[in-house]
Amino acid sequence: MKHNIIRICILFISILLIGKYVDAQEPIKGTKQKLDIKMDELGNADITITMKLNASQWDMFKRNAGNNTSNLKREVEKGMPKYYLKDFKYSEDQMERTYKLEMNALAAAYVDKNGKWRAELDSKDPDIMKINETQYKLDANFSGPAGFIEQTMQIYLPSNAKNSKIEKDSFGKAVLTYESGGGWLSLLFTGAGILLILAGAALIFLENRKSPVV
Amino acid sequence: MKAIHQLTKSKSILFPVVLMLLGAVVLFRKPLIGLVSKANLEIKIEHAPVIMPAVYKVYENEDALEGKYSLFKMLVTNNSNTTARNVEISMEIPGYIDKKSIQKIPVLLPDQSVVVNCYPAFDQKIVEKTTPSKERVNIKITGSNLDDMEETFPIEIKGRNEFMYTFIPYDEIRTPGEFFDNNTLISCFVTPEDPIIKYFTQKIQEKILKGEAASVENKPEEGVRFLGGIYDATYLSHMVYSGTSGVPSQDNGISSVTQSIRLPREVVTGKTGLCIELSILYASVLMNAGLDPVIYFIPGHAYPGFRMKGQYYAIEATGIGGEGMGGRATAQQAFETGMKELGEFMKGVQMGDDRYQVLDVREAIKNGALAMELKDDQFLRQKIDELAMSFEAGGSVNPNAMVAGNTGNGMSNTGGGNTGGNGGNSSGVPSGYRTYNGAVSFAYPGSWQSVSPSTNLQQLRKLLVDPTGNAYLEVYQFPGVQSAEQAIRIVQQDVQAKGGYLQYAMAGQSGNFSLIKGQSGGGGSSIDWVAAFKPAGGGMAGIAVGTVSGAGGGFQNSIQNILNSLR
Repeated sequence: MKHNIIRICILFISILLIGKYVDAQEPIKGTKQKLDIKMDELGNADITITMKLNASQWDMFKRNAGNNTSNLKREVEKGMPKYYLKDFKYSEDQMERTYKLEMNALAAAYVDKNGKWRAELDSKDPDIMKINETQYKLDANFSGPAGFIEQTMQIYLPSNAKNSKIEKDSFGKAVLTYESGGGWLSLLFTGAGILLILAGAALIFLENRKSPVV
Repeated sequence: MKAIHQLTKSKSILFPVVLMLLGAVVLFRKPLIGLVSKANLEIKIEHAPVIMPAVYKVYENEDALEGKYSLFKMLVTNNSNTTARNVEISMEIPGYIDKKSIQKIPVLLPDQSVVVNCYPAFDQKIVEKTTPSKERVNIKITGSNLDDMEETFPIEIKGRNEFMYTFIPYDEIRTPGEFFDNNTLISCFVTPEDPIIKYFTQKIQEKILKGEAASVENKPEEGVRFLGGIYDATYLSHMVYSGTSGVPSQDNGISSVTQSIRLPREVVTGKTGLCIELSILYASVLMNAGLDPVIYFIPGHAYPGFRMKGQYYAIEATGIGGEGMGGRATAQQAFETGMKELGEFMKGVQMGDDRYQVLDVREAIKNGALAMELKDDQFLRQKIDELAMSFEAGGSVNPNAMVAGNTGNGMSNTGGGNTGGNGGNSSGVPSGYRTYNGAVSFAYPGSWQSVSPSTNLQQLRKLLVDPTGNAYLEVYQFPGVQSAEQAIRIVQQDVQAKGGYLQYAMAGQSGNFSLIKGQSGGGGSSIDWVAAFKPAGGGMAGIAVGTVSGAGGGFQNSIQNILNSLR
């Protein structure tokens, strides 16, 4: 079972930019791509890709993909056969030549036998930076037939995630792991359970002290 | 008295014990609930329409072709309020794959999903299966706290020769090329490691080519000679072309053409082959000899070739035809036809027609489309020996004649094929030609005149036009530009600024020249051109030479001579 966040991004690039859409209209400067991946408490990922294109790219994109968003969805699904994708949304700002594609990838992370969440990055040494306990930033540059792409990816873990870190799997590849805090209700139950046990123990102790056997 | 005390004490201890038990229940509620309450899983399955034995190595590799060819993909969702524990998914195909665990899921939280992709490892003997059969895939899901679940679906396992060209449902097909979405899997029929094909290759090298070093020397002319050698082997062994069309089939909602493709060893020993079968045979032999084979697909046809130093070469393998088909072409004629078809192929690609596809066999193998394994066979070796006796008669391979003027599609060959060998002079200047010397130098027909360009693009240094106005040559110099692609973009911007268009595709490398092919136009006319740029003088310099679209092939010789003389 491989759930590979980085590969998701590379696929999107190939599908949305360097595929058949913009084969003849290529940028001289790097094209910027922003990718936000928000993991929910069940390991599903809300993915948002935002791309700002130059004039010729936008023209080609609108001609080939931008006016047929069902095909955009179809191409993404074809390019990511291992995944279950749902909730596609497309929006654009024509004046800014920017489009945004959102979708949900089920089971982008999973729970291992130690109860830890794992998201595999399929890279031995990714340029990833921990911003805080629930946020990571990853910069990646790609060059291909469509030119140079500067990608900024932000990974947001669930708000109750803790002890997040980049580890290595058996093959030396990077894996983002984290533990789930369980939320306030879980803490409440745990606290209540401990209190009840302590209260019971205290009562037994007091009872033993005040009633000596005659 | 003591008994009364004991009774009172027991009563007073009961309450704290109950409290502690309650605390333990609250603390360990999840495992306890799991013991009494079972989890419910919801399953969704998408599966392949058929199993093709020839691609069994693709099925078993989850990284092959981005995991596109799994046997099934299953979404397992826990739709209960109880965490499912130690979930295990196993599958079997009775008679083919014994029951096998494919995934273990330690914990599946309420509402959590996992995606299970099944990549089954078939035994190699599946390639001995020659006829199709209907089978069932059985899936079992077990867990610590869930009732065992069983799912099953029927599937057809094809014969090893049967190939289904697409798995895309009919109502999802968008372009004609998607009817051939599985073309990459053709690579699984390419069997360079088949002992029989190895033996056949050795015979060609020994008996026809009398030794060859195409992959060692990396010289295109040697590669072309090898291509001719394979052609002669098929020609001399009286192999014939047999045409047949694929059969439309319906499998699990997929409408596709299914074709029976014989393996290269069957083509050689059976002495008959379709275009795709001959292409696969060529690819197997070329690859066994260390070359980089490619197969070109055009509507209704396929033909083989190879790639070397960024150039593409092709041969019309079906030129062997047969006496019943009105004659047979020599290797040279087949090569000329192949190169001509390659020119047409490039045009089709440039026009964006996705039915024009090229299968780069090494690339496909790198991506996991591996060939099937075949066993040695003494009987087939004897058949090869018998065929090789006919090789002694001598073939039609004349490497110099085949290569002259045909130095690959990319720069020197613009689709016109071999034009008689007069373009093979790459060092001298053809008679009637003048020379240009600058950042680049080349020879051009003496009748072409220098004219003033209609653009103020400073990088355009010279414009030469043929007297009919149908052929053009432009000399460019781009100071400070780092690549041929940047250079062509500058021209593209200039063309677009004037309301025209310019489309291009990088076409590889020849020496220190980067090659570009393209078309530009506006106002109802267009020019097909080829450009070559090299680093020079702190930037890029080069030429673009082309003809007005539809002007015919009368300029092929001139263009070829210009490009051959370019330094």
